[in-house]
Amino acid sequence: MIPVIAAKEILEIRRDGRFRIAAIVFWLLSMSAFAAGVAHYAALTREAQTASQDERARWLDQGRKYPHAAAHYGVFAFKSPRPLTVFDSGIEPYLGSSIWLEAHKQNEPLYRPAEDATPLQRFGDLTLARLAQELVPLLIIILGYAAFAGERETGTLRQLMSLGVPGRKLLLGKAAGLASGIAVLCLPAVLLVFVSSAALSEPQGAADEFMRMALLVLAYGAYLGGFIFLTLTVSAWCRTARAALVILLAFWALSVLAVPRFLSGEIGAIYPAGLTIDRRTALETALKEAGAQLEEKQKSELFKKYNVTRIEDLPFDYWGVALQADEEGKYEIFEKHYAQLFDALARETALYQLGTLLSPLTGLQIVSMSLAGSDTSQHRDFIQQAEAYRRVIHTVINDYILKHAARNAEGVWKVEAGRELWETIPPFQYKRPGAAGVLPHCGLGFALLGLWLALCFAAAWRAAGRINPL
Amino acid sequence: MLEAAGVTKRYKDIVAVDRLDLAVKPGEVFCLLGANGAGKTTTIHLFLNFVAPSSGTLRVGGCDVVKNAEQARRLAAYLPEQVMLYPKLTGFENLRYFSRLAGQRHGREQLLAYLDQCGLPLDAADRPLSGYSKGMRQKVGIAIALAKQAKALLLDEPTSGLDPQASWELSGLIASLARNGVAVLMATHDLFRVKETGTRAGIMKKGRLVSVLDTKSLTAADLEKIYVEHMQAHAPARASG
Repeated sequence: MIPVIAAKEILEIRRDGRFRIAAIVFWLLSMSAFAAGVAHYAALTREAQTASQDERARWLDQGRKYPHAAAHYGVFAFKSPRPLTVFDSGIEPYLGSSIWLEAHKQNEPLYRPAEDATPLQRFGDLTLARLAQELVPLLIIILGYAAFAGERETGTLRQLMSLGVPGRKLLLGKAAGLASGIAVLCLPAVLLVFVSSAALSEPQGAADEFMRMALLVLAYGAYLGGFIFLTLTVSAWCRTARAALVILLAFWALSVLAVPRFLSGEIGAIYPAGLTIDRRTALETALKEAGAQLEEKQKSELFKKYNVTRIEDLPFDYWGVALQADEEGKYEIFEKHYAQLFDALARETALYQLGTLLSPLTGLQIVSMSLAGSDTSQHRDFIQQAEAYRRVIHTVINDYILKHAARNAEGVWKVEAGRELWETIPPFQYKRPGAAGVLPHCGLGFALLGLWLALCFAAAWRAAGRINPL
Repeated sequence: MLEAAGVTKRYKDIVAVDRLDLAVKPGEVFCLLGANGAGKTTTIHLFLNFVAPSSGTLRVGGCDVVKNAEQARRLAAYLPEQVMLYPKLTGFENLRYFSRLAGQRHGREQLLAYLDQCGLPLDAADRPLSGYSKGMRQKVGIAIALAKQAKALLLDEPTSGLDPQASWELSGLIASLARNGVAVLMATHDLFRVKETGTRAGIMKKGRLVSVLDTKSLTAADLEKIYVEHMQAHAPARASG
């Protein structure tokens, strides 16, 4: 009985002029969003690759110099986007894609794509994720609001119920029909994302990318499935199709447009996650104090150990030891500072995911960005990998100073390095985290999306069980 | 086949059906007559469990319509005044859909035969229902009842708004179904069709079944006279000029 109902619903949807127009418009928008996503991905990837190569060449060809001077000139670490950012660019445009790795300092990422965007572009970003998150629920409402209420008004519901068709089978058939219609709309976009991700993935990362895509399909399935059952619930409850449409459009406007924007603003105010002036000042002060203390401590320990009173009398280049000690002494300060920053981001993300209780879109946005690799957790991962690389560079350089410094004719410690040192430091290569590592960051959102689907299904099940054909 | 025992339906202070006792046997066409608001349509809706009785029991083929609503509905077919079908589907597709939901898996030839039996031109079967006249839709409705192989037929003013030819054809179909053992309960205002098609007629007034008549033993004029007398009984006296 359910397949019969579903087949008839599909036949009606197919013959519905509104659906044909909606499908054409949606496919055009999907193509545009996909093309924009691919272009954005290609530009970022190309920039990251070109800049990485240029930066490596500059590093290797910087000539002979005092190694610590090279450490101060620093080196840039670049992050290339994941293939799935073609689907959901998330907050990637608002985060930096490169970090300047210099001596003594752990810097924040630089060069946010959004910085180069015009103010109007911020409102016009069109991604496939945004279409699926905002437009598809609207299409579900438009196609489904009259499912029960319209049939009640025209009298066909009486005809159906007089045959002994249980309301719940009618619900499942209608849900399957509506889901099929929506699947037809979304299928081209889904296929494009699958194909592009397969084509753009590195061979060793393809399995992970497919795992992420499968999880994305699950998450969006729960989100849109919830909208299907909610639409059918309201349609079953309402006396008229018009009343059902008004209620559903109001819910869509609130849950898709208003609540996520309101929550992101409010949560951002509760947990300011960026580098605020206060936070930056506190970091600078802590670094300054620690630097002075570390130098004094270092000197006194070395003077005592080698029984000297001046650094010039030490049997090695003092700066080889002092610079490394300075680096290591500041690790804890940077770790504490960034831990606070990351904690604020994690709390912000968790609270935003809890917003799923008010709007299912908030949970989906976090899950979608996490799986697409365009969320704050992967930004944090990039910062951490870049910092680990920075530490390797400075350990190697300081070690080189210590081992190769020699007194000149005036008795001053001197050391220079060239390509032989620069080549010992491998280029930075960002290793993207696997799908399993992403789930802890969006598990709450996933669970709440499951709850959203279950609640909508339960409401629809109850409404269909009590459906009144008159 | 259709039984109502002590059935009352109240809407707050209004009694729509009052202590109704009724039995329609297989092969019988029982016509419910009465003014608008007399309780005819509510009686039909009670048999379909579209509304629940306030008291009393209703059965279709022995199935309690409240306790086993879906089972009882499977035994009956329903034809309202306006047969509402899906305008984007063809007559054939509508018939196939409804008959499948009724648990019947007829082939195309059989379904077309049902439509033909009901007098629907075969070239119309594959046209969208949106272009059908009311009479054509009624014929598809009857075809659904045929395809469903219902044991009981519940008709709510089926000839209302039909032209005489279509009305005559529909009456013929109903009589044919009754001859094949289907129990028919028909709410109507059409006294001529009651005399032509009905085997018994019940007159309802303010929710009560006030009289049951054997239509075969009465002329159309007798039937009309009795009906009018019942309608005028206890009616407020008309002001004389």
